[in-house]
Amino acid sequence: MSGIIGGAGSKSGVIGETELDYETGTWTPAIVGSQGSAGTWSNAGQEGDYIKIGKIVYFSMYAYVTNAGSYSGTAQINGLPYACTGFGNQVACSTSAYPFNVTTNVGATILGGQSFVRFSKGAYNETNYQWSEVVNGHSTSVAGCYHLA
Amino acid sequence: MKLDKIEVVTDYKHLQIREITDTGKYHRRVIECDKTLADDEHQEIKDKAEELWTDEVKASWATFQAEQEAQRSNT
Repeated sequence: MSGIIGGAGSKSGVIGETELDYETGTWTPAIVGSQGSAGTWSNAGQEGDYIKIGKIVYFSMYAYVTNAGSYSGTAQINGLPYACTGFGNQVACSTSAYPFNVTTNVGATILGGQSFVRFSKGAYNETNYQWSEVVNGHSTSVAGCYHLA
Repeated sequence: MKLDKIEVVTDYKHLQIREITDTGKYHRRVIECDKTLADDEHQEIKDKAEELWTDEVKASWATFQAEQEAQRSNT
């Protein structure tokens, strides 16, 4: 299969017999807690990019928390550019840096219907990282790919 | 940023927003029906939320999330 997809921005093109939408852009990641309120919360360095081809989007992000504020609950990254599809889908993402003071690998998932990334730990990634575990100033980088709603 | 497009996705009427930045790039975000819209939100988005985010939709979304959390805790 071969074909042409146009340059930057929103394009459509044809690969073989299939017409595809193509779009690139930015999003604004916010590392927050799932509960509570922002209060004095702040994060910095936010960069988020995405590439959408058809119903699939690849995203990447960087940010770090500078003030944990008044959030509580689970730690998550809000602001994904598109909602994830499905009910039980738990899309695995790749973390190269995370806002916790740990030496083990940190899992990151997107739940179906949601537009945030959640951090997890445990042998089966069954336990969510809590906002109380977030460390100010720790760089956070996550990338992944998911199916659009 | 200039509002470019509002897409309504999922049974829960998520508003998928595309805006155009000052540098001409696309910027995207998603707003779910349990979110509080900012005072300075685009009026068109406020109107769409008012139209679509009924109590029934909000209740369905809350139920969906609760079931999703329960399912995840069983994994």
